[in-house]
Amino acid sequence: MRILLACVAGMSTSLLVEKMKKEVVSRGLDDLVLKAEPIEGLSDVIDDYDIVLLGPQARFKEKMVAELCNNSNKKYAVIPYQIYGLVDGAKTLDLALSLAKR
Amino acid sequence: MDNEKIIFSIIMYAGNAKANAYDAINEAKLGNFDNAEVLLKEASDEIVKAHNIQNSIITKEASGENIDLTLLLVHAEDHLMNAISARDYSVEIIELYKRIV
Repeated sequence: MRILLACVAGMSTSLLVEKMKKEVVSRGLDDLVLKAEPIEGLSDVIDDYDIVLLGPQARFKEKMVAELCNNSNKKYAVIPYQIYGLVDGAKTLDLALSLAKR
Repeated sequence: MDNEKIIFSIIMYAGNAKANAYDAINEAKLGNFDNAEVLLKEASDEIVKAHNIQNSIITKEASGENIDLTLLLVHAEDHLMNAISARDYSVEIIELYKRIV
């Protein structure tokens, strides 16, 4: 499964991605690809991913992301600010995994 | 609060403020000016929260404590400044909609 974290510049989410990667290792999960990208390039890369998580600071672009994901048949969610604010890799990973099951 | 959480909190509150400001413009576009005012207030409240966190590190620095100046902290400041501009411009844009609608 390929998970993309998108935010305005792909900068802060890349730190969150690093935390998620540690969590992936400690849970012994495999077949997971995690990456952070700026939202501007989302339309170019969306086909490479299964799940899109949007940083809450990019919520002003949610409508655009929702349309893009619906058109490409991808699942997406906005990372709740409670999780994001704590840079919680474990809970962000849980969010992605639960989204994949839906 | 450690440095990382300070940075992420500033980015998060700034992001909330920006989203609220954009939502306010969209409400004004639909003629819902009362909703727009509520959202503008929420945008300002989020900016205050971000400022309070920012103040905590500015105070530390002013008292001689060393602050880790990372690119990510600079990035958080970008987010905050950007959100403040978005809020300020959204006030003006909403005023324009009031004249048009």
